[in-house]
Amino acid sequence: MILFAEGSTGALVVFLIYMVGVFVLAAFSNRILKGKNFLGEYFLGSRSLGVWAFALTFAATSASGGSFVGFPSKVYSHGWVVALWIGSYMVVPILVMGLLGKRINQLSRKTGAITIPDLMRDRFNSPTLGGMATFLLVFFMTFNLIAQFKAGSIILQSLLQDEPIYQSAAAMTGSVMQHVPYFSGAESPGYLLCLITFAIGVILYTTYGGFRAVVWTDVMQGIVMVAGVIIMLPLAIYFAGGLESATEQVADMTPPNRVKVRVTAADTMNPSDRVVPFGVWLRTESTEGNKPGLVRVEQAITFQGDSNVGQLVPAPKEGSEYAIPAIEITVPSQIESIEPLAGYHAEIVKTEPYAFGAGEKNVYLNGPGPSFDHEIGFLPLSLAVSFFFMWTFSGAGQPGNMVRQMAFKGSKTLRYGILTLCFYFSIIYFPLVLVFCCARVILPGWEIYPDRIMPELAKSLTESAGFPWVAGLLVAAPFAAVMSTVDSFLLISSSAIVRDVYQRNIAPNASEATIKRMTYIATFAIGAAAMLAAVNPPKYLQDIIVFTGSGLSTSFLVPIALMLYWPRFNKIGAMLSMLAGFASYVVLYAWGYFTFNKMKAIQPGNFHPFMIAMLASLITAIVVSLLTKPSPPEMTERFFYDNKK
Amino acid sequence: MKEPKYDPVYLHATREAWVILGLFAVLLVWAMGVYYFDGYDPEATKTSVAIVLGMPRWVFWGIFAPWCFSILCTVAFVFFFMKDDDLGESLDDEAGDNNEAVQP
Repeated sequence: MILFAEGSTGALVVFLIYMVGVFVLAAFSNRILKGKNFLGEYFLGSRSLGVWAFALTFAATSASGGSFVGFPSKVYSHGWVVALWIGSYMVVPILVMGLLGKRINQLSRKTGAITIPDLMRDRFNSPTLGGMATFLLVFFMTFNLIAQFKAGSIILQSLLQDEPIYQSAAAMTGSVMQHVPYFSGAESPGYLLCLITFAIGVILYTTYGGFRAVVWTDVMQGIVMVAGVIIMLPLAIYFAGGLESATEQVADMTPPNRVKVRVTAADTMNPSDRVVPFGVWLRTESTEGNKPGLVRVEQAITFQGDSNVGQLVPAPKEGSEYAIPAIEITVPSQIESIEPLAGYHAEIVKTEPYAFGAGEKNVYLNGPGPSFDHEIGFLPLSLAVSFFFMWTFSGAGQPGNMVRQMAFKGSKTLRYGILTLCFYFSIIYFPLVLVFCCARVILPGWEIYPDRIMPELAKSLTESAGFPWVAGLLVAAPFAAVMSTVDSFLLISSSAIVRDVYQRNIAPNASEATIKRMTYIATFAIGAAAMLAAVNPPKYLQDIIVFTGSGLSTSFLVPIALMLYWPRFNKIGAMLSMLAGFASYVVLYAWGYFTFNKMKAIQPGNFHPFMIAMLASLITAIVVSLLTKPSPPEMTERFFYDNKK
Repeated sequence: MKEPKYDPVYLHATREAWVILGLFAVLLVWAMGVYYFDGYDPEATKTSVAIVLGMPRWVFWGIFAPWCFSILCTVAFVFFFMKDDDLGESLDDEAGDNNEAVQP
């Protein structure tokens, strides 16, 4: 209550309540851990997940920060076509859980496997295959963890940025940073503070509580996420004047131009009052035959000394510090209705229109959707097909999802789990498309920083509706999403190391106490290492998340699916299909990196590299298996025939 | 020698997997078909877009409608098609029973 009185937005209160809840759940899990087989309980919750826990842990793990940050920003930037981009979520629940669930669960019970590499090794009785799987898993997971830690920190920053306590803590962090050489490279004190807070929170509760804690917090996070959408949907439609009216207005919109402007302050303004913050609207000069236009600046502008020309501080590496990046609005009704900041003038010095959709109406309603970089638009047909495959089959191939399929209680849980997840995803994804199409009407001009549209809309809607404190809850949704992804990945990495490397290869006879100690140390150490790597994080955050996410499934889906369903499949086929998927995927990215000089894959025929790599893996699996000797008959008998006496 | 009998869980799971893949194929063709014929405008030449229930017509028929259809199919699958199978006891459960840790 005191915090509210100090002008806080309530976000800090929500955050603290949330963290307390997470730690209480971890403490309960740790109590349950006592008296159970340690590894089976710590990494799989003793295979006893019920319907709600199973469905929500699935939902929360697969909904990462992307679902609540990247996805809304895509709907906002490209319009209704994003409904198709995400469209295969209509079939994700039944496919991701139903395709492999029963058999993975059965085989992992039969073999006693508790990790995916474990299962592969036992299925073909091959330590080499287990070792390869462990290596690939740790390779992709490490990249992903670093990227997710960065995402967690960024979201926490946006959640807490207006809190006075946060601001003073960030200032303190800043002074500490100067004395620690490694930390001084961090992008800002606020980033570092949030990274450390986020990482320590996640690492502690994951290490302490294990899988059960992760699942229980996932359930809580799953509820937070769905509550967020249920609150936003009616508010967004209401404030946009109804869905039909919103869609009609969106139909009239034409994409903005990316521009560089020179900003001048009126001479009448006192030099000390000259400030242009981020996101301010400015009027442009009228040019010959044109009316005055409207631009929105992408960065804050300062005025040095007595100069009345605004500049960027620090100066950009390329281009002039007087050329301020901005967007120019091209929708006449918005140019008239938005009130610019008085006392300044912007002069456009460079204009870059959208590569697809510039000046055209209806582009936000139809495919392929406007795109600034791509002349073929956002979602050409081949990419639409790729994404339809990707969400479903990439989801089915995620080791994080597969591990959960080892953990449910029985096939009844699986059935009801599919149903629950089906309703859950339907409530989240399609409504989010409606919400952020309405956001185009409610909050124009966020093309300057589309990743912020979710918190900005949450703030705007709840303030307009008269209960601003709810914004804290809404902004907690993406934070919950990242947290629930990170905790599960952390556990997958540490289980791979403790079970597949240490217990099965280094010390097969280690006592339970030793294994326990190793597990705690490994979980903590991996988390801490990822946190340190995220201090100076790699660029291209979202690209890395996509790279590792679909990379994992190109390596794992085909070998796992075939080893569950095809008796003729053998060890060599499994190894080579895993390598073929991995190699073709990495080659397409590496080739793309050298061609475009950024983290972008070559896309033959405009198909996503995921599709190509998946096909390579499948063909290799079938051809190699048919050309080599079948598995020994006793192995086939054990996994495919009725062994009940 | 008598032919060995396949594990019923394997047979059920295989049948269920084929049905799921079939549903996926139907939805893929449905969504992409509507997109291609009604929602895809690669030259950005369309001057008007029909709206149904507040959505562009192609979104209503190409995404919202198959989405509802998929929910119905999932309900039918879960209640009437998918078999309840005994997935077996776990090896590590047995190990758990043997260990001497203290119960909470």
